[in-house]
Amino acid sequence: MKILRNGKIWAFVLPSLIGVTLFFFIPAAASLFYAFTDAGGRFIWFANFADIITNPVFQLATRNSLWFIAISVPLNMIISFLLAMLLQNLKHRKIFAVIFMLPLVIPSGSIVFFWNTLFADNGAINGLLLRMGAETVPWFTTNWSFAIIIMVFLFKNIGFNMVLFMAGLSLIPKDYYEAAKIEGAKSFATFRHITFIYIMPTSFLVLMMSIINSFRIFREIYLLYGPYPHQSVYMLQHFMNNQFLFANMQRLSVTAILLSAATIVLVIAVFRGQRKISDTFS
Amino acid sequence: MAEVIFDGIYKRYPNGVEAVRDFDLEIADGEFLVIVGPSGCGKSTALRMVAGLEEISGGRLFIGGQLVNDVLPRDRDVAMVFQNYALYPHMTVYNNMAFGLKMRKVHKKEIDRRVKEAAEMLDISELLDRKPKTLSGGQRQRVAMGRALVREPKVFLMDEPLSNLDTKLRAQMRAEIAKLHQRLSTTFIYVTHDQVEAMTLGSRIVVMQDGIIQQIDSPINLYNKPANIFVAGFIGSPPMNFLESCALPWLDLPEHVILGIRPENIALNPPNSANSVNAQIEHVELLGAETFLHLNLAGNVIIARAEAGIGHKMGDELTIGIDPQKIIQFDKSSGKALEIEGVRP
Amino acid sequence: MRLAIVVAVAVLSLIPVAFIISNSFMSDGEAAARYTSKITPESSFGFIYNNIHYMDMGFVPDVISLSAWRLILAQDPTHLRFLWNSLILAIPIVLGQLIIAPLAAYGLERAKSKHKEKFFFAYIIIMLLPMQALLVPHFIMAEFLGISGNYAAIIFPAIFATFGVFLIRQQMKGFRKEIIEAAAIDGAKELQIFLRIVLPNIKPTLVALAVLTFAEAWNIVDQAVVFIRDPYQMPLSVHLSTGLAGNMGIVFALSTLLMLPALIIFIYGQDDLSEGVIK
Repeated sequence: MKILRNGKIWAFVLPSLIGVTLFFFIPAAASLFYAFTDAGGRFIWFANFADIITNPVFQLATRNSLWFIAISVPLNMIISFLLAMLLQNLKHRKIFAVIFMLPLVIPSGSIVFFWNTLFADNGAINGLLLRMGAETVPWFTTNWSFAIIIMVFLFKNIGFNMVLFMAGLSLIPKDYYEAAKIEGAKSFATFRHITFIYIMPTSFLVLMMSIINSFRIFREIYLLYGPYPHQSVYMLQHFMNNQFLFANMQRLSVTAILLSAATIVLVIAVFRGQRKISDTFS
Repeated sequence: MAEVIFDGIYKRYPNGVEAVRDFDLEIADGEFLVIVGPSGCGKSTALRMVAGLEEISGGRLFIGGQLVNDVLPRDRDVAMVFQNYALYPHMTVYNNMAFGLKMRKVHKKEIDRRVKEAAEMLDISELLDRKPKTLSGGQRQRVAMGRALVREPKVFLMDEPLSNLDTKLRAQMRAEIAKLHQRLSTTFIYVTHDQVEAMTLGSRIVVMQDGIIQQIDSPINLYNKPANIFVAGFIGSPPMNFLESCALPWLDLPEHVILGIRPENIALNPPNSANSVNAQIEHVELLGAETFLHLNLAGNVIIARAEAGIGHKMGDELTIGIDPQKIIQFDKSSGKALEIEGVRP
Repeated sequence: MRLAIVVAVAVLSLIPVAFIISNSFMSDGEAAARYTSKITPESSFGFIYNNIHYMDMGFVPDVISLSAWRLILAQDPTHLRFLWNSLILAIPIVLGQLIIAPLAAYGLERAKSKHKEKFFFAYIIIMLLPMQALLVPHFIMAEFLGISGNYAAIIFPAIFATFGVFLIRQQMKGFRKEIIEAAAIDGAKELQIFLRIVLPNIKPTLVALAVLTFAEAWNIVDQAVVFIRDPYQMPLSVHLSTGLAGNMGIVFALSTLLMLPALIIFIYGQDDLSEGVIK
């Protein structure tokens, strides 16, 4: 019976599994082949990897991407969580939730005109600065460009994540807080032992979506700055995009493999961390 | 309508835990069988194996003469009432009850007839258009019963169906379930941890512990002739008192014997002083109709049942008499009841 | 204080949308004059410094004009063609996701095999990888299947994207096992349980997935650039950013056109969006 039933249940997964195998697993194996061979198909061990890792452009792109994730994801989670805490019992919550989530669905192609109007060299902000007697700032061609994409990212994601956190907070049963109050817990202790613990599943989801969206913000970067932006915002995606132009399968494969490996490490770390946090605090 | 036969049934989990061991039981057609035991004793697992929700690791299971080990739940023609009711949240009460019949391609008119009849029987006719979310616990319970009822199954399975109700409602539903069984005379298998439910509902009761059947018997026999210390202690409230044999020195019994005495078999300040001993009241529980006295008898605490209104006070000394005929003896090491009727002094 | 923050966040969220939509009603000349760096007779009223005209960001057109809309909707219908391209890409992706992902999530949640978590782990990795890393395998497969250059090269990988499986499975974990068991005893086959019991109860999640998938599919840029060679086959999102060469007169109308379907679907599904993700 076990085999029969399990077999049937796998039929549900099958369509997805076929697609994933076709478009992810098999070509991923193929890209392993590219990664270890040269353009002529000769096996060359880790030469491609060495070539990529020592490539200063790759190093720059990796550094930028890591910085971007390391800053934008936590910042996004902290701000949206704090806002959610603050606005938890808001009146007319539904209407505000719609407004807060709006930026998420504005297509990159539309929103960039807004940012461009603000920050271009002859943009509205520089115009304003001049009128106030200050100097203009070349926003897109200095380190400011990094700050701007952080802002663009936060703008797009905070509202949605805040609404998710609000939904998560509203799921925590009220009697937990009442019990803590009766036991005389201080507000920080209540936060640490109740809010923090029970918001974990929500945080996990928000974290996942933040990471995904931190990669997706590349579209805005690309549309704002073009294929060769200031070096502070030259991301791994730029690096790969430009390799696509040359159809350099070796470099592309190696980069994709390195990215996947890093993601695997990250996911394992997040899973472990989540388990550890719930173990130590609960 | 069908009999259910467990033939050496085992349930082993991949981690090696055995939830049910060597389960042998024949349930007659139309019988109301109750499986009772503490949580984690394997009673629900046994029931779920009948439903087809748990695989059977060993042994054979028959429903109505058919071997069903490999039969899917939907083909077993059983109905089940779950502890948390498991109503379909998105369906109205009517559709909840009709779903099983729709799945079995019963004719629409027949579905309508059966649902309305069952609703009438359970007094939920006005609720048919409501969603489960809007119902009270008691109403949900009735809907869950109705959903099983309309199916007219061979066997009714009930997994702690009353545990989520308050005491008053529970007593009421208990009576209704008993009536329902009388009316349908279908086989019922009913799992509970509540020995009162077991005693009042079951025509036979299976007591389980740690995956093993401890005793199968009628309610009255379970009470009067428990097979071992576990059953003796589990059935009855307040529970049976257990004493080392040396606590009642006049009985002159060997040391390996444990004595079991029901609280109602302890006579307080008996007229003749034979078979009596002094004890001190440690605690008095007033229940209105009766009173439970927690007595200190040479270091052992035992509970005695007393009439209400006598005015026992904490700290009072009294003599208690124990009828040797009503003492049950157990073997200390195995826990098994010894085959002796009472005790000859 | 709280109210101030709420209003501030709300206003910030609304400004770009308001800006884009209101500017789409500017006359061709006004938009061109406002958002150019050159000094022209029209723009000479604006702020000029060192021979550069600074953008004059405005929310209220001087004259409300439908000229931009008339241009993209009637006079030059090539723009609509790009809208059509976007629809042909996005609709199959959303529909495909809505079929494939719930099935897979249900199967993975119900399967008893120990290996299922390994598959799920792989799904999570795939879901987290940036599009560029995924484009490598997609590109290899598209070349192999000979669909490179077709919409199929974009649509199929997007249908099999794993985020939906992750999201729905996460929701199914909160679904009572007993309800599924009750349906199994009631005589429902596995597919009937899925269709008649599970799906209706995760409707908010399906709506949320549809909204998020549509927003993503509507926003396709990278994939199109890699796979599509014919500029007339590009989706509106790419056309808007590459094909206009600074024709500010219609940029805002086209931006609004691009935004509208996403907004409509969002507003239709907003009720379920947060509930569907967190429950």
